[in-house]
Amino acid sequence: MKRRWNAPIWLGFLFVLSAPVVYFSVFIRFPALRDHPWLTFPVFGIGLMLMAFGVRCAYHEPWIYRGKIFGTILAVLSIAVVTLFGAGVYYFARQLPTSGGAPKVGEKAPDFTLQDMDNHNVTLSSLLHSTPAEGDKLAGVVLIFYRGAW
Amino acid sequence: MRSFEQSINAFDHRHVSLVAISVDPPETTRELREKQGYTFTFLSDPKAEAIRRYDLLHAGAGEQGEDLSRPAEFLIDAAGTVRWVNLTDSLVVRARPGQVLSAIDNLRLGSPRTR
Repeated sequence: MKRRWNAPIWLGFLFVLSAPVVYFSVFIRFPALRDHPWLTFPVFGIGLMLMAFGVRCAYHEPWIYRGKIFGTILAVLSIAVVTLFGAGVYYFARQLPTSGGAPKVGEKAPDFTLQDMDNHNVTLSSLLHSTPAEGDKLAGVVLIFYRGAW
Repeated sequence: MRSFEQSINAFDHRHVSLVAISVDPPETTRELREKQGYTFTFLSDPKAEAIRRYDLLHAGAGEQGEDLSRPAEFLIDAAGTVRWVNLTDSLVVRARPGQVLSAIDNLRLGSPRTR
């Protein structure tokens, strides 16, 4: 007799793979979903539960269900994916310099001369004396330091 | 930065301008700016001079071990004084425009005449 296709294992694996893909392609744009991946971990959870169910069937009723070997391999892979994702978000993403010498509230912001997109030199003081898009007097500047495209 | 672009009118309205700084050369920032439709100013700090002065250097953090800036946001008033700082402890957590806008409002920095 031909044994049954073990759908929960594949479905679970699909859930586990889709969670980080969706996080990095879609959630990363929305701070509420990005800062703490509260929606990604339940998807991982559903995936792992489906896989556990599928693997359990494969071991308990191997004459009905397939998946003893590939189910185990995919389950181990899935746990690795979940662990890597968790480590990435909660450990590796936090390996940042402490920046103890960064300018503090109340201090004078260090001036700088940098190039704009047209290779013109721009200083912080010139930015602070520029005229805003609306109105007559600039109230301030927000400096956004970012990692860049490398 | 996408979220900051979406809130650009709120910053304009408060007479606060946005300036993005990274180690990327001007050509790269120009491409990024065009591709993403950013309208605020981008500055290039390829030698990480300003980044070092602000103690934001993340040494060897690039894909090929380049020095990059760690993410950070500073609100500076017209007199050149730092009024609000955000140094995130995680790469996936950045300042949201709303945080900066409420800091501006709490400090009564924006459009003082209408208040």
